[in-house]
Amino acid sequence: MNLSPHTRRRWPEALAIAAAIWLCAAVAQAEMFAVIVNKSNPSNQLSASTVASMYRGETLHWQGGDRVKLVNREISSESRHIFYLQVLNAKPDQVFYRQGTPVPVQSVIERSDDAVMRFVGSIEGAIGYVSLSRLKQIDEALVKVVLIIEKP
Amino acid sequence: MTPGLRAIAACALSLYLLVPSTLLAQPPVQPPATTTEDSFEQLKSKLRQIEEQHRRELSDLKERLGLVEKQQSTLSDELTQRIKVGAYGAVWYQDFKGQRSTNDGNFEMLMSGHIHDRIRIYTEIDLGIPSGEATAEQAYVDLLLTQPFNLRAGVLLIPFGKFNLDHFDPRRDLTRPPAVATVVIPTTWGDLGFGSFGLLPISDNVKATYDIQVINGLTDQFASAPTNTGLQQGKNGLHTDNNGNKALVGRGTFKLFDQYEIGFSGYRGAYKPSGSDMITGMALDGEFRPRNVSVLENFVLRGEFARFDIEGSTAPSSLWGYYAQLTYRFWFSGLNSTVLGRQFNNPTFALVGLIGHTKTNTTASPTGSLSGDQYIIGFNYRPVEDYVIKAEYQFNHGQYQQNPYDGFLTSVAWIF
Repeated sequence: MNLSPHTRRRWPEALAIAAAIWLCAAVAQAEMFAVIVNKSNPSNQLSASTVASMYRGETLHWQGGDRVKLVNREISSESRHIFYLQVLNAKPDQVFYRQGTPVPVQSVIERSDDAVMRFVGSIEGAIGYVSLSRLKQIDEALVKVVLIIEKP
Repeated sequence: MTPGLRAIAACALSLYLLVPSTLLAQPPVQPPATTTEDSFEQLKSKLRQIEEQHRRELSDLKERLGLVEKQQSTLSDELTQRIKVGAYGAVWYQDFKGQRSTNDGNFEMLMSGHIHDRIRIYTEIDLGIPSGEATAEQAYVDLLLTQPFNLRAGVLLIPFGKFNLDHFDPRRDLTRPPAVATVVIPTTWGDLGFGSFGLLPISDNVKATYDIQVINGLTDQFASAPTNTGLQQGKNGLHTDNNGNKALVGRGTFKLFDQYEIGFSGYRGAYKPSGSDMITGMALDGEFRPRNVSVLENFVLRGEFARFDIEGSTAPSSLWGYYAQLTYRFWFSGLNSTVLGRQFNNPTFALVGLIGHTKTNTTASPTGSLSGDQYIIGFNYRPVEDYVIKAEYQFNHGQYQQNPYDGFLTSVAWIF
């Protein structure tokens, strides 16, 4: 292919622009989720296994002694799908039970990120998960992020 | 009137008219002074109004804050201290060859919750339908101290094998327990005692749990029961200890990657009213839920092996058995718009296969032992997690009274 010198000079620019567009698209695709706790919670960072242990009913209390109050999304929610897959290594419909009982591990089901944030922001000891993009719009005086989950 | 007088009168009148307006007139009110006083009063008034308004707003805010705090407190109390009362039940139809078909069932009341953030209760009462005698299957209280160490006391579900801990009809995929869980392990095995339990995180992907109890223990009542009923009759029925020698029982597990669970159980205790002959038991159980391989994600594999050795007894002297169960969950999205799927959040079908074997070494049998094999295929429909319709066919071979022939069972189980 015979390209003019002018065109040849612009190849790197075109490639750079294409790369930038691809990167932006990739970043936009990689939606991130945040595990949030009440602002008064002394924990500033939690590992995925610690969070999983709470949602599986194995960890019942925070280090400070407050009881863990779990907030979940409905089964059909994308957030729940990713949270269960990435953090709990489980399908979104898996139910965890108290060992030796038919009683499920109790959690409050909220149907929107806003509702999750309102609940976690107003109840000490609460923990929930929301889309990080949504989290940017909230008052940081209410909740804090303790774990970031990236959609695969 | 003379002209002089007229002139004087005119002068006086003029003077009267002129003087008040000049000399006798009151000094005029200074307009600036009047404005300042008015403004001051107005300002004071405005200030009072603003203060009043602020007081009202503050009072309103306090009222609203109080309401929010009250709601928060109520919600928090509800979450932390709620006692939940529920029940579960199962009713089944069974038709085994050579036996009359019958309906049978099981109904239990549940109470669970926290009476304090760190004190948890759980009670499960078998309502005695159809046997006629209500009994506590579990009734205990947990003192939650730390993740690795907690205390439990009351009527305890015995941590021997995973099936005994997960025996609840609505949570199982088949109607009847496998033979090893009825003949060898006396499932729904509860006893009075004390224990401790906890979880020890070993790494991000490996956790260990333990549950250890000191209980009254099994009795020698199994010896007077038909041999083919195994240890079922050896449960002490929540009576006081028959020999003053407490039994020790426990189960430990390793959970790997939240996919694999391997459990080890042990039991040791005297069983006769006098003497020190012991029953010693061990069990190994496992559960595997594959993840991240789309074809396998819908499978669950469970299995259990258990063995008891009984000192000072020949009928039986030992029992052992195992089972393995594979469950495959699926759903056809085309059914979402039908009565089977409409308005249900997460309906599923499940195909279940189970194989099992049990053996009892006993002098009561001419051959010196009783054995049985069991093969079950089942299907169930679960519109929601808490309701299930099951159907299964059992192929049974052997000498056990509880599972003598092939047969069909179907059941409905629910929990709320």
